[in-house]
Amino acid sequence: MAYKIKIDGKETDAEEGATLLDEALKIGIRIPAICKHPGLGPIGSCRMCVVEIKKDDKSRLATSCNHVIREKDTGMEVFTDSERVISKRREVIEKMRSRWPNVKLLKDLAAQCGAGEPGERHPDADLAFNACIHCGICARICDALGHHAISLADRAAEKTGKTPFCEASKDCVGCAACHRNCPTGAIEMNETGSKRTIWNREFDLIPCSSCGRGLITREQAAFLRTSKGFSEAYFDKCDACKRTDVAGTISRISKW
Amino acid sequence: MVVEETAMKNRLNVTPSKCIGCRTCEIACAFSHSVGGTMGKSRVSVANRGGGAFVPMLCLQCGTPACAAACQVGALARNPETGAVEVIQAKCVKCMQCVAACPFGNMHAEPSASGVFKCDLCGGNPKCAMFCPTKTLEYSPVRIPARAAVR
Repeated sequence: MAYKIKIDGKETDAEEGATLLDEALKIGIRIPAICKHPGLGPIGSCRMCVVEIKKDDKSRLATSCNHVIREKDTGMEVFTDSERVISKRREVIEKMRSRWPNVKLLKDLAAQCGAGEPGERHPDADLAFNACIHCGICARICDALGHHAISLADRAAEKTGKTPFCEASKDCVGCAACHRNCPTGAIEMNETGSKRTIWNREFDLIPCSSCGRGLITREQAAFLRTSKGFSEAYFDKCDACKRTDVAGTISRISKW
Repeated sequence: MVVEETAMKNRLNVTPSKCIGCRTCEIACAFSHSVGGTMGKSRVSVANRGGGAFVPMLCLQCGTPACAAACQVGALARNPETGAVEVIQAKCVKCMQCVAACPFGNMHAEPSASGVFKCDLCGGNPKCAMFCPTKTLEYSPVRIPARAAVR
């Protein structure tokens, strides 16, 4: 089912179950968001995506990333750049910048929203350029991949994404998806030769049996084997060497 | 085995015996998928098997794709119009499971695993086939039923 709604004066047919943020993007309106990742469910924690919703002469602010469109939303008007929205968005980004003043992502977003420099620094301010800004993308990715090894833990200044008690986690498979998706680069990963170190644990990369290049860890391969039923032979070679092998097979069976 | 029904009208046919190893397809692919034609971005690679035997290797758009089976966030889905299995880049979490899972090695990883890419049939107009001088790669109407072709 689709329901008629208005976003910034443009009328659109919003699909039931879609989020406001996606519907706005569909008609070319970009709403800034930090904690949103299209592959993961929304959590609405960064509050950057606030929009003003007007329905039946009532107006309220809501996060657009987790506002799911239902039948009762028919005829609602959404404003993504009203005065109320912009002042709220600036307030949010200024609060975040007072806490993490040097993070480039927040600096860029502040410039984009026209927010000023934060006046007072938060008592728990983290001056690191790659500080964790609590978006939770790492933990949600880990959950989506089915490992549940990391979560946002502790309070105040200590709060970051981490493994339980900061110890090497036996659930972690060392896929490093958290490291690659962290918007600020807060998660450290070291890769030297066939060893990868992440979350205080060292992992062996499976070396390609022809060229020795490693791509995934032994633990990740074991996870794919047990949960998805992939055979061990799939992970024996790297993609380039697999390609060469298949080309050999094809050239043998095809007529010249 | 359930093969998805698609409305695709054309398929990319590869006849390795016609290939002369000129690698025009690689260049066409690199230029259509990257600014300035970075060769590392080419989705097709020509394997030289010696003795004048060349095999252009590109995604087979499998009936039951192993890459999509390995993906846990639904970032790999079939485009019903072209029949190509496409990476939805925004959804990808860069876990590299699809690259490891593809038995043919046709899922490519970006340098330092910063992303993945694969053949998407250029949205229904494959540039490799367009520039292939010997018609090794040919984007032509489906002649055999898709169901029989997979078996």
